[in-house]
Amino acid sequence: MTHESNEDAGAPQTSEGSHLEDFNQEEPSETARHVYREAINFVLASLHQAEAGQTIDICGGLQLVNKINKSLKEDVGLVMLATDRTQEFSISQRSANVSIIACSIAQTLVMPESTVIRVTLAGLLRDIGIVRTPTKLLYKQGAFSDSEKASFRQIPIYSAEILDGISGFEWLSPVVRQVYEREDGTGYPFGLAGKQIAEEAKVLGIAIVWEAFLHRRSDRDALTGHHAVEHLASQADGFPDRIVKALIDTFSVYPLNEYVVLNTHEVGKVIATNAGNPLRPIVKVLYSPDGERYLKPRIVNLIRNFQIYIRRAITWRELSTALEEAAKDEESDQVA
Amino acid sequence: MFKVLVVDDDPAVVGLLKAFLEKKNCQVLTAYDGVEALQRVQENNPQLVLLDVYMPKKDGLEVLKEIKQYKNISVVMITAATGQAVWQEALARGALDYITKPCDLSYLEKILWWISKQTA
Repeated sequence: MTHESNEDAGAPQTSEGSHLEDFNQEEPSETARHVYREAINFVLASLHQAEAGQTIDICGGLQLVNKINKSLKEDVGLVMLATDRTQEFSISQRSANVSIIACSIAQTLVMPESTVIRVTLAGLLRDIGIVRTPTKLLYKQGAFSDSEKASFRQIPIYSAEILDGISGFEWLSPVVRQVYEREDGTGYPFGLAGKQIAEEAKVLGIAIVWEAFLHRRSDRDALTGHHAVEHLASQADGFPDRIVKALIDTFSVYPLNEYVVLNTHEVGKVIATNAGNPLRPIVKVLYSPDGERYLKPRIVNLIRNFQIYIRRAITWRELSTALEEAAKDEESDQVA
Repeated sequence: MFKVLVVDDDPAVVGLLKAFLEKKNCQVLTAYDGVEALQRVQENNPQLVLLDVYMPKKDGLEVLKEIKQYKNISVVMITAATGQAVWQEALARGALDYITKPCDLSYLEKILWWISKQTA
């Protein structure tokens, strides 16, 4: 059952078209979708090449990386795709996601263009060593044993070996080897710290963790973007403050695609952020307080509607559960 | 320690916010009118000002304007008023956010978290 969205529910300024000038994109553009598909295909092709012992087509990757860099400067379509919470991603999709997230952070840090390119390319290829990991381990459900975790920790070493010695790309192997190293020396495989770790690897490191937090894994549920940011900002993951700040500046406190519960008890999805106040993004209000989907969702720019604010963020799974429960309640009412 | 100035002519509101902020390990300064607020800002350089809109001597919007003329301090307006025009004016003068009374402390906590990360 669907509801008409109540335009008067504490949001008299939200009538159609009154403030839509703040964003122009609810769905990723076809160009962004095309670049995203290209990124996934490049990762897949690289994995096949690595498996077959062939040289990786880095030049093809460079063209793609330039497209990613350009697309991210033009609109948020790629970020929308990389941070989608409603699906589970394959290994190749996750590499594409990390590359896109890391490229965005590198742009925020105003890294030199050549460094942005390096970060993005290394993001696509950083997990290529996965081809040397037993397949059954990659698709295992549930928690990993210590020996299984040790196998995963070999992946950056394998990736570095596969990418070692490619002419003109000598920087690539050390970077992919270091993406799991941490500022405070608690990372792996070598426990490097501070300046021993390449800047590119630090940006990729936080992108990997953030991407992983946003999506469900075999041994844990997804976190909300808000919870993930809080976790990273607590320094529990050993990233420098400036890199964490860059992540927050890039994706905000409530990132794109975040499901949020408003103080009106409605549920919406973040479709754009406000740089001036990350706590007040632009939200598409999708569900009524009793969990029913609005036939005509309204769009609320929270920075222009001070009476409406975000109470909390919820994961896709929590949203599904809440809606299922609301539907059950409705069925029970009808039976009664 | 994160320094917050609470400005409101209602001692009950100041007391509530002070108690909450101290629990969050903030150093809390207080003022009860607009003129006193500007003095506290000058003397103590807080990182955040929670500022009532309607106050004696000088109202919150005027205080906000003066603070923003010479300090880059985050200001969050607090008021019982629900008029959109006041919010728009506060936003135009550089307020970060706007909380209506009774204050939702969980939202204030989020604001605190965000500003503390920005000024760390």
